[in-house]
Amino acid sequence: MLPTCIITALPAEARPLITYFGFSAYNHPHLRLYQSDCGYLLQCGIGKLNAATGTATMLQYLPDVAAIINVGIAGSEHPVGDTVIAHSVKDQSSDQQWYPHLPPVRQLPGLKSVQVITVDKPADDYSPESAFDMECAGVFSAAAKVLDLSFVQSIKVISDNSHSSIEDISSNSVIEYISNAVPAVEQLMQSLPFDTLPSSDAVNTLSSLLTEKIHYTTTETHTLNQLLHRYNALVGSMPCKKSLLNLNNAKSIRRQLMSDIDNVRISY
Amino acid sequence: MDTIYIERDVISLPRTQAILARYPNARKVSIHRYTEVFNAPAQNFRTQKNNPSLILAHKYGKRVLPTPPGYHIGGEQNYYFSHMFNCIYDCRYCFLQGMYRSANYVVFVNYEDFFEDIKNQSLMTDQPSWYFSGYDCDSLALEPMTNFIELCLDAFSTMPKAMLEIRTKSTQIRNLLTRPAIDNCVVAYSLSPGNIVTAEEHKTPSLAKRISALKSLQQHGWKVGLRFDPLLKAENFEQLYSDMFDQVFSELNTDLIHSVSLGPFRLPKPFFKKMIRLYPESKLLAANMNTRDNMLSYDEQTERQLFSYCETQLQRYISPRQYYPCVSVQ
Repeated sequence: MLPTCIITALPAEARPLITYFGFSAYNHPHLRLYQSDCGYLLQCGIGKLNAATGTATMLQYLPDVAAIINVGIAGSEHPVGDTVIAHSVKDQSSDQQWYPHLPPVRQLPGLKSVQVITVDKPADDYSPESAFDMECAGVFSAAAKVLDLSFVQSIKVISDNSHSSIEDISSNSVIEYISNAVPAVEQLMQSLPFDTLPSSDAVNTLSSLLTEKIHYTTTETHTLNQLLHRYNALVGSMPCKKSLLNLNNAKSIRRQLMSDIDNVRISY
Repeated sequence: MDTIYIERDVISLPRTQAILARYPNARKVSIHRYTEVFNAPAQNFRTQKNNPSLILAHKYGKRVLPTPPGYHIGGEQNYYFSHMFNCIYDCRYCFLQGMYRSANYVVFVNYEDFFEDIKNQSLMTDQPSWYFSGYDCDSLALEPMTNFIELCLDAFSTMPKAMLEIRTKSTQIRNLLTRPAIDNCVVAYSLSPGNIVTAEEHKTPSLAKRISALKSLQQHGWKVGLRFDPLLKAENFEQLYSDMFDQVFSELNTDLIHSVSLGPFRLPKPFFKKMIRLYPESKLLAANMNTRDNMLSYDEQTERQLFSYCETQLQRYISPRQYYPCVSVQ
């Protein structure tokens, strides 16, 4: 499993996740960040703008983050305490929408899906088809610029509905709601399709080694990576790093790789 | 299907409800137009291919389009139509991976509009006109869900001047075996050597199963076509393809084969760039290619050699009137 960043708005939302996943404080001058074996937690603060700027700053600072799960409370015409997953996210003010690609139903048994509508001010025209929050669209707006939407998800716990007012929400109730949603969050993390991503570890390792020892322009680095991928695909292993390093310059390495690739014969 | 998106305009249609009834446990998401999901940015074709969603939609605008120049099997008026986008199969050479952002299936449920457009097109000329199904999808793979071909054949049975080609790799031929064959339809199978099927045509029926389906169709009276497409370069190309031709033509009644064609391996350059980013480990996509007219392909000499060998082999089995050469490789 690649590193996932859980994003919450409120301290009360973050607390049960910090406890369960063993997060500890991760030093950053401007973000409230935590780290554990499973990845990171960002407490971004209330509102769409905080969510968007926090998410964007986090992704810039932590380029190894491969997935984001926004976790928080929301208002909907479902029983208080119910956990739901977003099948779509809408920014009420701009009408912009995102459709996260959801994992198979069998991997998230019993989890209902709703449209999460991000509002600028608390709303109370509840419906069973949707849930109101104040951050999700901000998270998606920033995350979708970097990650594909199979790896950006949102889980909400219903905190208010037409029978239970938003005024009745307390820190303790939020902690309780999110605590009950932790198994769903964990199931979602485990169901993210990291295994479908192509592996670039071997190529990146050799490429880093070569570009440390020999001067490469950005374009040359890009070409090098392409050639290493092609070599690996055709030969089934990486080229010998020692013989490449002996060549001493980027052009010679490129020519050697291209010559090796030319000489490969494909059979079925 | 785990998630089904449904355009609001089609949700109450009986056909939509029948499809939804097949998947009672799927999440149902109401949308305005399919493009807001299908064309959205930040999608990964490869990741979605693992678990595609279904989108049920209405197809507006032009539903019947002219084929590219040279794409024909004897007719002068040639068109294609797509009742569905994307395919359950996962062939590594397929241009759909490079063309579409999403691997989700789109099914246009307004079948009757397609049939009406085909009928109107066919009435615009006294000559027979050809209609090719299977450009953006496999024509039969999801037939148990869509029932499209069953209804399409009903429509074509009333249009004797309209000729239908059903292009497929699928063995979902039940609807074809439980009704009489119609004269103006060719069921055309895409075929590759068995080892290439295993290596590059993921999730497809084996060559043997496709041949068995062809045999059943032929015995039931359907016209069948063989599409050896694309021809893939390999060190053991001659052995692979001659073995395949032996296997195919030993099982079928050669005299009754409607048409045979060969297809080159070609991809638009922008599609290819996207595909190799999605599948950097693919040896097919990693092989040396040439760029001609913004298309990736083997070099001209290699292409001619592949074609020349296959044409020579085919002469052993079929007559010249059954063979439709690919104009772009002549």
